[in-house]
Order: sequence, then structure tokens, then C-alpha cells
Amino acid sequence: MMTTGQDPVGVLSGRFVPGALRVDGSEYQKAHGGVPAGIGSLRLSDVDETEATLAWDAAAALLRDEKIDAGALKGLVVASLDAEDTAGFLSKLLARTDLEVQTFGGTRESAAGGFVSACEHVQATHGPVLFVAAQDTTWSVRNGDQDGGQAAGAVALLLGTDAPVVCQGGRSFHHSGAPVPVRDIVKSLNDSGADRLVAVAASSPAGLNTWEKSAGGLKLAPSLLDQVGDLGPLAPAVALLTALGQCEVGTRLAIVVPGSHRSLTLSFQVGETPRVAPVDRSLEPAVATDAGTARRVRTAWVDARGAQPRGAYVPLSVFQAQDPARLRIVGQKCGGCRKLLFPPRERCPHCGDAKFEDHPFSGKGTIHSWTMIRKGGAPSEFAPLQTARGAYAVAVVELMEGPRVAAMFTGPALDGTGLEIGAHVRLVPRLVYVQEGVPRYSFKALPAPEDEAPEGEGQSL
Amino acid sequence: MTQRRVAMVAAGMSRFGALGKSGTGLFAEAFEGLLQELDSVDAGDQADGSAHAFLRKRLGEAFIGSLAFGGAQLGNPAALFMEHVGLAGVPTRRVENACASSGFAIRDAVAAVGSGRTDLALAGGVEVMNDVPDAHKRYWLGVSGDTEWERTAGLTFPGVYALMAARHMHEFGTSKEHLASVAVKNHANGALNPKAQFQKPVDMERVLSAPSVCDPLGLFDCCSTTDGAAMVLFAEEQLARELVDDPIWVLGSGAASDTLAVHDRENVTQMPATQMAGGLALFDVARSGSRLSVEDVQVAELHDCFTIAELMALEDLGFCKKGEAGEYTQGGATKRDSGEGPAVNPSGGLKAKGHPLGATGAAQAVEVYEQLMGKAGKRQVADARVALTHNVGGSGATCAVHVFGRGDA
Repeated sequence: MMTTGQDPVGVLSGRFVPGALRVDGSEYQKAHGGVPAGIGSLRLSDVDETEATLAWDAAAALLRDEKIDAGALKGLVVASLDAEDTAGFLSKLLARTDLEVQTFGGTRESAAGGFVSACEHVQATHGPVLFVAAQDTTWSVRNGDQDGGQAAGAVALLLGTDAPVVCQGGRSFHHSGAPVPVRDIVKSLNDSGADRLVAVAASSPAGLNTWEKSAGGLKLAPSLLDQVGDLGPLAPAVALLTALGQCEVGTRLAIVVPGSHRSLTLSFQVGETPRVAPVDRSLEPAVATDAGTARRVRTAWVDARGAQPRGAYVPLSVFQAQDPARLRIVGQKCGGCRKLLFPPRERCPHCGDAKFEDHPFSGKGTIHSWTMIRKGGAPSEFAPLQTARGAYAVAVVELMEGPRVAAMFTGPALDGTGLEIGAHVRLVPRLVYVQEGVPRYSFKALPAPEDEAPEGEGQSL
Repeated sequence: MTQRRVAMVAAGMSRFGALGKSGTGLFAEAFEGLLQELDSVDAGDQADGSAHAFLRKRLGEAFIGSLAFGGAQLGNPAALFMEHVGLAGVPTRRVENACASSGFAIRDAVAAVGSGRTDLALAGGVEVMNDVPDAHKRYWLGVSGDTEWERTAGLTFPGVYALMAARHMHEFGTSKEHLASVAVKNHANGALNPKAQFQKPVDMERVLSAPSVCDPLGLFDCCSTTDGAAMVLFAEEQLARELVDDPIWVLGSGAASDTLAVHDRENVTQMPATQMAGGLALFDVARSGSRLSVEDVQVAELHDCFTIAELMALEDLGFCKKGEAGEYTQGGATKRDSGEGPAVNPSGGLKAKGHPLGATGAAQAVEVYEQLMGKAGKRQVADARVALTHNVGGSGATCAVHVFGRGDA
């Protein structure tokens, strides 16, 4: 286990992004069963969200808010079911395929271990390390389709030295399948000093109750469980962020991570007002859905696993070669006439020149025109999406820099809510569809607040 | 243009609709119509036999437009068609520019005759779109747009044209009623066309209350899927005069290409391919010494795959001012014999006559043939002497425009 001493290492800031869909717990229960009592609503991943896109949403928001350049990062730690793929996706988006990456599994315990490892990496490198945990509820259907009220989302923590929230170490309790030794854990927390705020990364409200009954002198921070569901590998970090919302300077904070074979506690000292956005603010906006929609979204791409490509087919190699454009909105500046071009092409349509410089676009623009694609108007390869979510909005977006692109909307605006010509949008990476069992990613549009002023060239977050 | 004068001397088309007929069968049906026209001008005398013998003896090139022929025969379909109508041996090829395939087949046939390569050339088209699974159909329908950047955004043609319509409405105040007036007019015309897919008129209310496909385009703003074939025959001047007293001349041919994706255009409310093709066709007309201009066009077969497309074409070809096509159409100027403007789509257009992708360009020329020869029956535009066809591929990636005139036009 990690020890204290050396430079104080800890959490500089954090961001939580839940899956876009919100469904009532009882609705979900009707459709799927298996939702533990006490979960009022669940957050699920939308038809175009995967753990990779959620991970990026959280990481991008964090780096943007903290004004950290991806080039400054010294390491990336990812805890999720598909951690290798998600880490690869993040590395591409950070434009840091050189970044040292560690991957951990998609359980609570694994993620807590990942967090500890990330702190050790900060100590070794003295530099900021990005820790990300993610979980989705659509794509992971292929991995056994657990129906236990799982939630979708991602959490990103920026870890570094001189942190306002200093990690003071922790303890492991091995119990190999036996019930979590709640009293032993509570005792160990009490022994190391009273007056501590404790957040429990529980999987169910019943589990939380056990802790409440045994907590004794310890004060328990409220959890988000009842509003989002079981966050799996996100739970430790989200518990931390939720607790930080209750903390004053000087608070000692402990996160308890109950697991199946081992449980962990992590202790923190809150040194300054933490730069953490209130976690429950990230719960809006959401797409309110019913159980039927949730079920159709969950299975939307299932029949595309391993299947023959359907519809107008873009070969995988072409898609991947276009990653910088599709994921980071990297276009071109023509070497001849200096005009900006997006998407990239072989020859400049203005002057015919074939020499270009890469030009990262901001991803920001306005709606030049838009429409709702209804029954009969969707390409066949988008039938699963239309079946799951109904009519969807598509726009011609005029990028701030001049060129225009076509983009589908994502999130609450997918159904056209609040869209009009001239409205500001920004482009974010999302799942387009699954072809031959491989998820294909490209940009989609999100409404952006008008006061998100253009930040100048070179910003692709 | 070309060195020699070229005339359109015969035409034929199959019935258009969901017909359950093979592509070769449809081609043969259109060919039958063409033979009847040749018989009516005693073309057989040229060959001391039948009209078919005349073609066997004199036909030098055949250009056949088809996108996919239902996917049944992607390779060598042109040779298959020629063989099926007893014309194996004639140099032939499939011409493909999506919905503008046979418009370009016409352009190539005219050039083949005008340049002296041959005295007689055939331009036609075939498409089979029905009797295929729905997903297959929607695949084929969408493959002529930009696959990598438009289609991956969830767009196929109704969506792309809807984006153009939405912007046209935003910039010029074009309304859903303006769009609907195109559908009402074309269905009224189609009702008089025994070959049309849809032969019942529809009223404004029916069009406006139809379900939306891609806002603002509803069911009646969008053409349907159609099977059909059509063909026309071009001859050099001397041969044409031997066949017909007063031949229909090809006065001008213009064509152009443009970006596939509508978002790559400067302005999504117009089609540069149409503007360029139209301009070049009229330049051709002027270069031959004629004084005809757009105002003299009496019959215009315009590419109304969606109602907005007819409005944009009117503006892009210069029949009316930019932004005013809605009022122009709703006011009745493009109705048959309005006296205020050309009769637009007297055949019923793609909307009512149908849109078998590869055959549409040729079918527009068939209508021109019938109108200028005075054979259009109930659809006849009085004293029609000058006509124009406008054929677009996809959402404006290609366009071919032809101007025809008869007599002292």
C-alpha cells in the first residue's frame, strides 16, 4: 500500500460526467428487474456513448477547466472494463500516444488500486497524472449484460504534487469472499483519529445502510447512489468528489471501497478549498427516458457485433486514418492559398495545391441549417439508432474558422430540443455506429452556451 | 458545341411505377416505343426493311444510364440490354452519374453524333428500384452522396435536401405552401400522363398534412422509388431531315460537376452544377447563332426529386430571381399554358411520373420529344417549340442541361 511522506501527493481537481440517459428506477425495474431497492433513478449511456467517449468527456472538461495542456501530463491511469481500448482512445484525443499508461479493471477495488498506483506515479515523476474511471451500459451488453442497476459515466481526477487534497495513504482488508468486515474497517478509521468525514463507494443503498448503522462517531457523506445507480469503478472517485463538496479546510476525509475479496480505505487531508465543481450539477442536463427506450438503446448495436457491414460502408482503415479529423477536428491549412480546410482532402478545392499543414480547429461553430430525420429519412445503417431514440437532429455546422460540416446531434438535443439556425454548438467525439463488431467514432454536435467565447486557434478540447 | 447539327428523331419509354418487371424487360418496353416512332417516320425505308433493320444497319453508339439496375448486373449491363433488344454488336457502355446518368448519356450521344463519330446514337436509361429489400433499397438510394462525411452524420437524400430547404426558408421566407404547390402542380400534370407512376391529383391540404420525412419535407415533397426505362435517338442533320420534315434540334448541351457534400458548397440554397450547366447550355445555344434565351423556353423538364429542388432549379437556371421561386410557382406561372412562364414538368416530373434514377434524364427528353412533336395529348403545351431538360445527380454533384428547339426556333 502507498505510504505517506515524500512530497504530498493528491487530488488537484476532478470532474464527473454521467451517462446522458436518465430513467426512473421503478421504470427500469419493470423492464429489466434487478434494481436494488432505494435507487430512485439511473443514469445510462446513450446510444452514441461508450466508456471511451464518456472518459473523454470527463477528461476534456477537467483539462479545459484547469487549463492544463495535455503535453504537461506525466501519466494516464484508466480503470474500466475495456481499459486498454479506452486508454488508447484517450491517448489519441490527448495527442499523446507517448504517454505512460496503466490500465486497471472495471471493479471498485480495481479502480481504487488504480488510484493508488496513479498517486505513486505522481511521486515518481513529480508531474500531473490523469486518472480516469469509466463505465457504460450499452456497449458492455456484450460482456455479460449484468442487470444490477449499473450506471454509466466517467470520472476524471487530476493528481499531482502540492495538491489541495493530499492523499495520506490507506489500508487493504483482505476477506476473500467473506462479507466485508465493516466493524473492523470502522474501528481502524476511528483508531486513526475521530472527527473524520467518510464517504462509502457502495454498490447499493442497502449496502450504504450497513455502514450508516455501524458508523458510530464517523460522519457519513451523502452518496449519489440513489440518483445514478451503481457506478462500479467510478464509485471511489465520485464518492471523493461528493464528499469534497461537503468539506471545509482542515477536514480529514476517508473513502471506503467495499469489494468482494478485498476492501480498501483511502485517507485524505483537505488543505485548501478544493477546485471541484459540485458533483450534482453534472447531473443536468439529462435525457429523460422510459424503460422501453432504455432497453432499445441498450441493445441498439448488439446485432452489429461481428456482423457484415450494413449500409454504405466506410472501411475501418479509412475511418481510423481519419481519426485526427473525426476525434480532434484537425483539418488543414493550404500551403498555397493559406485557406483553412475541413475535412482534410488531397488537393485544395480553392487553388489546387497539394501541400498542407495540420490545423487544429476549435470544434466550435453555429448551426447553418438543420433538420429532423424521421421515418423514411435515415440511412439503413442508422436504423438501430432511429429505432432506439426516434427521430434525430442533423445540422450543417459552420465552424468558427469558416468551413462547414454535417453533424448529428447528441444528448438532449438529439431530438431537436432548442435548436435553431444561428445557435452555437461544439463538436464532441461520439459513437457513430458499430460495423463488423468495431465501434466507429466521429464528431457529433452539442449545443454550447453563447458565452463560451472562442479561445483562438489550436484549441481542440 | 459539336461541329454538326444534331436532331432528336425518336423516343420511347416504358410505364413508370412499381412494376415487378425486369430491367431488360423495361428496356425492351421502352425500345418498343422507340421503334413505333421510327415506324411512323418510315425509318424502315432507309434499310429496305423494318425500323429495327434500320437501327441494326445505322446505330453507331449506345449510351445507357443506370445507377445499379437493382444490383442485378453491375458489370456489362449495357451490353446485356443491347443484346436483349437484338442490337448486339453496337458499341455500348453504362453511363453513371447517379440520377443524372441518362442526362449525361444524352450529352455523350449528342457529342458522338456531332463530332462525326457516328450518324446515329442512342441515349437511354433503366432503373429497377422496387422488389428489393427495404434496407437494400435505402442503401442504394443513399450511395450517391458523400459517404464519408455526410452519410456518417446520418444523412441520405431527403435529409440533405431538407437542409437546403430549411436554409432556403430561413433566407428567403420560402414556405411549406410554396413547396406544396410544386407537388400539387406536378401531380395534376401526372394525372394526364398514362405512363406516370402516380396518376391522381393531390390537393394542398393533403400535401401539407402528410407525415414529415425530414423537416420541412413531408411525404409529398419527396419522389418515390420507381422502376422504368426510357430512350431517345439522335441523328446527324442530313439523316434527320430524311426521317422528319421538321426535326427537333439539340440547340445546346451543358454539364458540370460540383462537390458531393452540400456542406462543402459556399451556399446551400443553390446548386453550382445547375448554374454552370445551364449557363453552358445557353452559351452553346448562342454560339450556334440562335438568339434564344431562358425567357423563350416554353417547356422545362426540371429535376424535382424533392419539391425544393424544382424551386432551386427555377432560380439557378434563371427562370426567376433568387429567392422568388416559391411565389413564382404558387402564383401559377409554371402551370401548363399559364402564359406567364414555362410549363414546368408537364410530364408530372420526378414527383408524379416517377424517378427511376438512371432513366430519368432520358424520360425528360422523351417528354420534350412528345411536346415538340405535338404528340403530348392532354399534356400538350400549345405551340411548344423550345424546351429545356435539367437532370441532376444526387444532391447536385453532377448536372446536365439540354436545350431543344423545333422549326424556326
